Amino acid sequence: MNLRDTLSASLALPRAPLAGVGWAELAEGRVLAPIGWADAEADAAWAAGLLAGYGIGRGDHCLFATTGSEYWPLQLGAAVTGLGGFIGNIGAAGYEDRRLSVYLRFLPPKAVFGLSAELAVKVAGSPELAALVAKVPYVLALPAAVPALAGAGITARAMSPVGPALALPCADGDGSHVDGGQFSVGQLAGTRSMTVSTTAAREFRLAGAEVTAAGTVLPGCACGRPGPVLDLL
Amino acid sequence: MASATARSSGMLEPAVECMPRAELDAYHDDKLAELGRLGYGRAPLLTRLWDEAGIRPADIRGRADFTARVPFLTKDMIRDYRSASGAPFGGLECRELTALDGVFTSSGTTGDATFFAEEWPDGWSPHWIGATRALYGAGIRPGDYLLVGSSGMRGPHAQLAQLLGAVPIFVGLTDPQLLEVIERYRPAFMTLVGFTALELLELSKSVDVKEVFSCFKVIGFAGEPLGMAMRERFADWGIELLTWSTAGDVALCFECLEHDGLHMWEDTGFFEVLDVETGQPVEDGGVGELISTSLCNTIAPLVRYRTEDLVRVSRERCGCGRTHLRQWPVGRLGDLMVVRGVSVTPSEVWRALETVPETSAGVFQIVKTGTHMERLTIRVGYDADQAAGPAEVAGLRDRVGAAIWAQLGIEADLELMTTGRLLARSTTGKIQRVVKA
Repeated sequence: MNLRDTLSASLALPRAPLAGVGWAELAEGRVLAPIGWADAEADAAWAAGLLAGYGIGRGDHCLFATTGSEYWPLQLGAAVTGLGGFIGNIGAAGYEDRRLSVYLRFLPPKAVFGLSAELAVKVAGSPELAALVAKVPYVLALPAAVPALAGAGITARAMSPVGPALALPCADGDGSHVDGGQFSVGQLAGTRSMTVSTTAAREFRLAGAEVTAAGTVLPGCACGRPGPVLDLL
Repeated sequence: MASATARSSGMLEPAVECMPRAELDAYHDDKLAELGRLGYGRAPLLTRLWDEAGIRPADIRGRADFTARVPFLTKDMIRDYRSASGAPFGGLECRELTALDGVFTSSGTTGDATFFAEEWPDGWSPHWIGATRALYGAGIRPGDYLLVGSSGMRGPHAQLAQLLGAVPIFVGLTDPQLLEVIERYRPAFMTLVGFTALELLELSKSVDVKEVFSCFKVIGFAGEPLGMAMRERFADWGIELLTWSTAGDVALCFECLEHDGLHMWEDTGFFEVLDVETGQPVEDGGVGELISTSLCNTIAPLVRYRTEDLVRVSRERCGCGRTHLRQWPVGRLGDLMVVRGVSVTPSEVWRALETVPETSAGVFQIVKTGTHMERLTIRVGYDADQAAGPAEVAGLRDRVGAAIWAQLGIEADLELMTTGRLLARSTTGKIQRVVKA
């Protein structure tokens, strides 16, 4: 009679046909993007490989700023806990600056993921909070948040969903990586517009679909990892 | 919506959910005796409190010793210890950070948020494991679709769906594609948190909510109490609400389809209700402060934690057959106030405002200057669509004042503003019903 028994009872139920249904932000509009169980496992494994490069391991705190309706926190959460770390969570709204401050003061994270533009404005407006964020070894923010953070003297690197994929910087490289085992990314000539195709048998497939995320496809990254590398800024 | 009768027979763990009281008592005796051995000597604050009380783990052999001798713990004690020592869990930590999978926080409505430490068995969040019994009992079944975009503060909400064999859809109530998602997937469950329920009022101006939401088996509601007017509105829409809340910050508690109190799973927590003045146990049915003790958290357990939640409870078997304690939240300890000798509670103010159409959504704040006050000041949010001009607002002020007088017999100072403006004052994402001046 404990949570493990409840968990056993739950896991004895038939498994759902899908791990979830997320979104792909495409130029033609925001479309529903089903995620299969194999997709989710591949996504978490790829993210774990990248985060291992940050040295994230047992007892390391990774703080997520999320709207609650995104898939990437589930992907990165599985990666972090799989590496032995643990996650914290705040909302993406500007008023979450208080909760951000509590985490930074009492449970300093090794990395912060997904800082939003709204939160970046709050950080930039508070020297005390900015000083706390500046102490975080790795700050990964949405592209729109990076300039405000830079204005406060905080070096943040860009992460972002790119259609159904996630672009995530490696620890020391040049840009943000996309899992090349699952996706390819193209550039529309003369623009910062990008296209995404699925290269694996994912539940949700695309072929050369233009995405809303803007950036430049780079020739590669100094880290040598395979797959598309993007400059999102 | 389907009738409750057709869906009320399912229980995920019937042997546990309907366990006789005597077996629950025996279980508590064992677990409370274990708790001292887990925490004493490891958790610094707990150890200090027990030393000050002159007790050792061997002294606690069960409920009787525990309730008679173990000292209380308050949120301020945890915060103070944390501030002084830097220990993230305020001196409650029994294990190293390497044992952690997730750390989440209280709302921080009354000060710095405090942390909740979690270890995830086999990668699953205990917070959401604890909610599966309730949703299974409400008829959620494998293959259903659940909307999971509104409650990420306690970790991966998607796991709640996955644990039930259901499919999580990452969408929130304010998402512009909400209606598209509902039409395509016909989801069975979602949760409304606090004033997000007001979004449905907005939605009702442009769509037939009754038709659109007919696919939901139940809709969860959490974050704060729901006023009668809103409750009736949901009933008119044919939406069956399943109210849920925290069980003393150690687990979650949900209504069942009987809607007769929130079930507190007593295998995850030990709960007491004590008289605020005397500290003595309150009989079932009486109002007192909920004291909670965590029985499933080996990292930083709360032990005799004063929640400041005022509740009424019953240990009677529910109509659904479950035997675990049920609670009815009454309010918060800090909400108690007396204005010119008259006791005033937020729920009474709420009832008054609900009688006025423009303020029936129940968006308000009482400005508290002390426990005993000479004046009652209330910030009241009104629907701007119904009171657009100065003359209408002036008339509204008179009617709201009259409603307060009729309910409380007190004249109130009213600060009227649009609902949106009042909600924008929130610093935590939920309405603080009582605020300091």
